Amino acid sequence: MGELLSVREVGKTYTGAKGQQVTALADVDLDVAEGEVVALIGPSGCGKSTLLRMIAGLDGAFDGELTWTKPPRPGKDIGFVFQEPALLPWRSVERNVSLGLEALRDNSSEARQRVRDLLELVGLADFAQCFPKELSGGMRQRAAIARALAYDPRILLMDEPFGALDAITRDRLHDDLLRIWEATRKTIILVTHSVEEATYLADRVAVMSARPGRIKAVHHVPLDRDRDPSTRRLPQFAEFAGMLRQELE
Amino acid sequence: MSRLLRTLGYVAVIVGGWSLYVRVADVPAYLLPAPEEVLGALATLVGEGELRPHLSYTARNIVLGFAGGSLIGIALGWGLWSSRLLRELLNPYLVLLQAAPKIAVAPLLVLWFGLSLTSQYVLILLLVFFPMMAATMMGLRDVPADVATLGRLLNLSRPRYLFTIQIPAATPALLAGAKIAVIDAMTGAFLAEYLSAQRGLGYLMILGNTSNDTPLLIAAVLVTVLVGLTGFGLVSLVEKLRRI
Ligand SMILES: Nc1ncnc2c1ncn2[C@@H]1O[C@H](COP(=O)(O)OP(=O)(O)OP(=O)(O)O)[C@@H](O)[C@H]1O
Ligand SMILES: [Mg+2]
Repeated sequence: MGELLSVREVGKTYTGAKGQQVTALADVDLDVAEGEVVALIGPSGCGKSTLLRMIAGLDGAFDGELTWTKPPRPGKDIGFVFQEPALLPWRSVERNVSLGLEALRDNSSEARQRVRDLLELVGLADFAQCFPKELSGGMRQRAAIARALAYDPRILLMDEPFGALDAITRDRLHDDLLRIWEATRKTIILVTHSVEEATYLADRVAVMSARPGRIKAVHHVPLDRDRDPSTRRLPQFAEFAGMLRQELE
Repeated sequence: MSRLLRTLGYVAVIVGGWSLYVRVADVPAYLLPAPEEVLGALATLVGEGELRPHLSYTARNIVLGFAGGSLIGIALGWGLWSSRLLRELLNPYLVLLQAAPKIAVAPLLVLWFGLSLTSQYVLILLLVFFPMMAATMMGLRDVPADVATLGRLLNLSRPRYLFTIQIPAATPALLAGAKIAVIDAMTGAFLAEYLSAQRGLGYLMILGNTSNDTPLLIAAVLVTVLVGLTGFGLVSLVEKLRRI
């Protein structure tokens, strides 16, 4: 696995509305290898979203360095999933998913096939012509994930993508994401509040500390890459999740 | 069907009340003629083929004024929304325009542009563009933050962002604005004709007024109300069709 991205001594200071300075991030170092799943976990307000937005290229005003082995091409290499699905209500699921391809003016038959395959992969093949309001919350979030993957980005950034879902739906989407990773081997950076989610999905977990946000530690998850619901019952799973929880306190 | 009956019921109540009032209170005909007299005047207008040119003249002015004013309003709204500088620069004028009764400038327009079609269009455009501009700005604000971020991530060009995201997101607000604007367009058209034209429904009203032909005056008012309802109904219809 080659290196994809390295974050070096990155810091970010916001100037609030009243002119006060808020240091959101300080001295953040993080390496991300191609094809790995890195979870970012930390207390609310520690700068996880800020870091993710920087990596996505949405915020260029920061200190330090962000180095890519191959710089991401605008509109092509970053897939982003928000906490809310953020689908366009006036477009069918299929047309929502193909939005990025439209922007690239790619209406080749491969592109269309890719959209169909992705809808199949996230279990929405029968709902391609439905509108977002006809879907459940979990289905909408699946559509949002398919949209982020449609143009085959090099990296998938997810900002608490399952945070707004109920526990049962969330577990199901975890398994979907594992399946998607299995099929695409995408590099994924996943922001989460849940130690179980981080443990279940990630290869490595970066634990952040509260303001100013720093990376406290990076842990390898001591589990096989092949995971399924029975993995959650393994003693190593509970042990690692417990260790993360302790570190967050 | 039941809606049609209900509408007819409402009309019957008005006409019945009107008829009764005229008879019981013995109102002189030059103040308020009986319904059948007005209907007679209307029939004459239609029968002699006089209504059609006036009606189509006014309708054309309304349609063109509404379309032109909407385009100007949407473009201005988009420009103001996109550029903070423009917004801050033009804000005082906009507040002024919003507060001022725009109808008050009508005599000035007649003075500047004469009794011409130009002054009529200027008045209509002036009335129409404002609600459309306000609606556009409100509609563009309705684009959720995540969707705006998505637009940046997908590197959408400005025009593509406008057409695939901003306009569809703003459509409900635009239609709400259009409902106001279409009424304003009609107000502008009638007022302009009232002041200056030799044709149109507004002119018919003047004719009725100056020739003491009250049935003609009321008939013209009725047609005007019908035109107003039609315009409003058309916009509402578009709104309803969208929701299906
Ligand atoms: N646009 C902004 N202007 C000023 N301060 C900001 C802005 N965005 C974020 N902040 C501040 O930066 C800090 C980090 O915010 P960020 O959203 O990255 O946290 P987070 O870790 O994603 O939190 P959460 O888990 O609640 O989503 C917070 O203290 C927040 O107040
Ligand atoms: Mg966040």
